[in-house]
Amino acid sequence: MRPSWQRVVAAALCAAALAACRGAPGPGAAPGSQPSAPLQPFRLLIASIDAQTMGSGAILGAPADLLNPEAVRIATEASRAALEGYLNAQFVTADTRFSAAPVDGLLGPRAAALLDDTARRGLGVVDLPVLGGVTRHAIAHAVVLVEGPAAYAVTLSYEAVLEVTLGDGGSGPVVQRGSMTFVPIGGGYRAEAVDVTLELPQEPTAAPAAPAPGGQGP
Amino acid sequence: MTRCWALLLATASTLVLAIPAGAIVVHQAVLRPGYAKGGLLVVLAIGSDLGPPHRPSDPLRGRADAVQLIAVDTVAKRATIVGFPRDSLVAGAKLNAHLAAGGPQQVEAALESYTGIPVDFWALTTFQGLTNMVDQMGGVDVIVDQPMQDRFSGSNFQPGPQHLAGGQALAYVRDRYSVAGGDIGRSRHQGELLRFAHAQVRARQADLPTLTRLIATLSRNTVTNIPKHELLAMVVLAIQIDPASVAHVPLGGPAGGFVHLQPGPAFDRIRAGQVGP
Repeated sequence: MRPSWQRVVAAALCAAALAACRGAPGPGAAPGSQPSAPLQPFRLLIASIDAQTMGSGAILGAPADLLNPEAVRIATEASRAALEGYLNAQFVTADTRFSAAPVDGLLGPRAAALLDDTARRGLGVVDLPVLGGVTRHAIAHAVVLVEGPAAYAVTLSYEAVLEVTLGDGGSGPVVQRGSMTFVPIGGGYRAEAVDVTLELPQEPTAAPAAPAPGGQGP
Repeated sequence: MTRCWALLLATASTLVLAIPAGAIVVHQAVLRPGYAKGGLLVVLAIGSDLGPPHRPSDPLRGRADAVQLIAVDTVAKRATIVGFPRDSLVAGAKLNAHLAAGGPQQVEAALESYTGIPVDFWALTTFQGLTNMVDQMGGVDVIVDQPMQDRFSGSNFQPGPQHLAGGQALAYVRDRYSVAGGDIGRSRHQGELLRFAHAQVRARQADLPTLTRLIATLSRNTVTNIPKHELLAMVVLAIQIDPASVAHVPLGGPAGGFVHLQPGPAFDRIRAGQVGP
């Protein structure tokens, strides 16, 4: 049977599909690490930035508002760091993962006021007996609102993936994806709007009904 | 060749079906705090007839060709839009002249005095600002209620559902010659455009990146005293309101040089916190 280009394409598609199923090791994954090894921290990458000015000079006849690259950079980095810190505290660091403490540090006061058990579970406040695993990737796209040197909001659309080994012998991916809008509050950036889903490899054994103290790591 | 693709498809289907149902548990967190204020939130929307590039002068000192008062119950998520014809006699002068005389602040003060309704914020746009906003939201779907053809505004619409680009939307709200009621009919269309745009944004169930870009669009194309850090909460509040819970009250009355408004119970209801249909 002669090799045709269609067969080559089909083979390539299968190989690509297999690679996608396995997932490429992310920046946080230690080479050769085993699923039960201690999780390595995420390094959240910003894949793209859509910077938008809020200045209305154009409709007033003033020169068009130019984007201030430094304001965009500072706001994006501060929001990136805030989200990365949450992801690591919520899903990676043994002392705090799946506890309420990282969520408390993530949210601004308005979002925190809406927090209920359903949202807590979506943000990762669950009882999941994780022994270890492999962090895959954490990647985000940013929409940044600035006017002159001031930044008003950064929305990060992201996906963070890790593969975990559970105490009962099970294993599987933990995936959080969606968007958060960060605003400057008190010298830092807090999430003032959240729209995320969290995929777990199994139903948590129990969902905390109220904010729990940290230290739920295995 | 066909068999090859069929085999690949069958294999893929088998793999998908082999994944045990319920193996993945999905939880969701949606936290979208809207603007919260005890009592009503009242925003005055103003369209100026000046501003570049059409009429390159200060739009804050133009004439207010569009004046719409938006009263929102931030708890019950209901709203009333009250449309004022530009020639309305308010506080001793035509309403549109208050803008030229004292800027948006004077329009606000005049309407507060006339209606007894405290206004929290004002937002002003221009011909170009409105055009930009509509274009940047991908156009707006409206239902044109009558034939419109007017060379001054550029309107040329048949009755029925229409998808308007920015320039067409501007013509739709500027036309006062081919619209029944003249300036009063035009004011009614201005409020209708607000309702159609609101319904469209809500129907699209915008995600947070889209809402963030919408905030930028609104901010770039208006001059307002709404603090920028409140815009996210205000946009979220707006899309929390069901279009069926928005009442539109286009005011009218005997017209001569002035329009002598006959507001009926409209102002009393808003002052009493009764907004919405």
